[in-house]
Amino acid sequence: MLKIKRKVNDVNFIFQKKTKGEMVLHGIMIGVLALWCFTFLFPLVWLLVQSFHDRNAYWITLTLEGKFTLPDVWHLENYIDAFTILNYNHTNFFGMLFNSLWFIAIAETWCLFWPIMVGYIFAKYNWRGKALFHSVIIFTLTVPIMGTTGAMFKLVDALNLYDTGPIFVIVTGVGGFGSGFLVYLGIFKGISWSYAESVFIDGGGNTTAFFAVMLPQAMPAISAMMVSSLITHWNEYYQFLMYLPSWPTVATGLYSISIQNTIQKPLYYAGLIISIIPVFILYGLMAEKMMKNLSIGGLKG
Amino acid sequence: MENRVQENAELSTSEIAKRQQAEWKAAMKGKNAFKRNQMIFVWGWLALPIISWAVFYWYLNFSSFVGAFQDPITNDWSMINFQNIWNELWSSKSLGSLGVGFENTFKYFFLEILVKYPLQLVVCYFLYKQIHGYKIFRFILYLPAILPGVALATVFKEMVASNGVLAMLGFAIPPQGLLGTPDTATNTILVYSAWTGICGHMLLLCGAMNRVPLEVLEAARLDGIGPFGEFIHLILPMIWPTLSTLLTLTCCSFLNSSGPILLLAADTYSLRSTTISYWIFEKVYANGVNGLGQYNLVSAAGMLLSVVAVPSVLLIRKLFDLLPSVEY
Repeated sequence: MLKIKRKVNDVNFIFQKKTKGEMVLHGIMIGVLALWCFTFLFPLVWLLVQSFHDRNAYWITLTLEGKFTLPDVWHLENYIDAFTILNYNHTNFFGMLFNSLWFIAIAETWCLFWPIMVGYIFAKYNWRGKALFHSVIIFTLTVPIMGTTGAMFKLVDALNLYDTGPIFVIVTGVGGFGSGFLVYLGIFKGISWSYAESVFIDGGGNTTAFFAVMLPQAMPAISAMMVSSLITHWNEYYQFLMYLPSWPTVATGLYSISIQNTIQKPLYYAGLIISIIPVFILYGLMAEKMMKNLSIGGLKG
Repeated sequence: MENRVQENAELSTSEIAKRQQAEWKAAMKGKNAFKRNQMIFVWGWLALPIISWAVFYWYLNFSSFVGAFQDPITNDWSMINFQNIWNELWSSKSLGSLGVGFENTFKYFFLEILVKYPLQLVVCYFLYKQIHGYKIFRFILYLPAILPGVALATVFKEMVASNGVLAMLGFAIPPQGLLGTPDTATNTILVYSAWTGICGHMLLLCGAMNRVPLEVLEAARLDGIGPFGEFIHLILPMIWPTLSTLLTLTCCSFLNSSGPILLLAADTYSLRSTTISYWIFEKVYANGVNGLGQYNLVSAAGMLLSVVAVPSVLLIRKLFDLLPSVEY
């Protein structure tokens, strides 16, 4: 505790002792960043306000009053109607929400488990040929082989996985040798093997050592990764657009609705605000955890 | 222990040897069983990822390679895909050719290296220096990475439309808006990428700066170093391991550099705004009609691009490895 307090004091001492020039520089930078932040916040506030407009008369409002007017009457019902009226490929907003939720549930458990397990095994176990195996993985990660999307499409079709919803995600989600491998390898390398040894002494096996001891030890680091991957999965639209067109998630559905000309914009904006709320809350709660000294290892070797 | 010594004394040498051998065998048996269990655990859990890797990486790449040499209709061996790629490279700009894709891809790559990286480094430096309100700035500046791309892109589209906020501020906006006009669409997407790109590597760069030892900064302060000198001579060399890894990964995927073309301009002038990766997407997606994609053409393009990319990436990695890194 004392050590942490001292470190905080050191930081303050070094960072708060400023010359006149530095104070001017910081002042300018605060102005620039404040302006930059404003450019992010203003559009969001604009989106929120527009979502309460009368959706049937919106085009008249646009023509007569322009894009930056407050609604005369705030139409809260847009948010209720968004769930039933917004529709893509015979799926309404409830359906899209359901698709997003099952996708996140599979992605955050099944798909996340495999790179964790592979990272753990490579960090803690030895076998003949492991170094070569590791080198091949690094090679595949850093050498850019392009244009496999066409072959992937043919493969998905050949395996009868096209438009199969959860089955597609489960089958293609068994990863382990992607970029997550390096992250989890690093996490488990930083955890002492003596925890697992104590399990072996108590008569436990390798599976018990992993699930009962090593995984909980790595959970703080893994949970930070889970938060950012959860946000990524919530915003994922490409995979569903390409391979699962009948299973639109919130992101895919909203994108597809956005290119329809018949769309009632306030209703669509309400849908966008609804899609922002969960990630915004999650980010608000976990921002500090996500920002904390995230690091990346080198690619040598 | 005493009992054992006494017991040993009573036994003949051959009996001791026999007993030791039995104990050693039992120990080895236990060790072997332990080792065997470990290997069952390792290969048991690795089996499924390896099968998946074999199918979705190795077979996929092999099939892409074979597809490049197959006629899309008859499946016979043919060089037709390469001929079509050659024609694509030099066809008219308005057709969204691969040549246009190359040109725009390099624009996005140079934007990343020459604009987004320096901007992120400067912003991270000031956040690291804990300027007033740095926590709020950090929170808001990272928002584009959090918010759904479709939401941010929709709002941006409205802002640069002919009756959007820019027009209200007095900028001359064409009647179709900046994204709807072929000549301004790509540059507008580049501006969008720079605007939202501040958060690209913010967490990693800020994290790397936070790990710079305070003693070094303190010593430099006593020597009278200014903020510019501190940034150039201290911070940059000390975060080089992180920065060089990020730069290497960016350079590794330089032919994949792109912007959110699908979200911003797909319904208007994507043909003139296309990049290599968007060109690939369009050819495979084929407006969402399953089976109509030009899969073999994409495989041939991918093969040619890989031939360019792989040596370049290996060279870049070698160059970065040559630069000395600071250990602390």
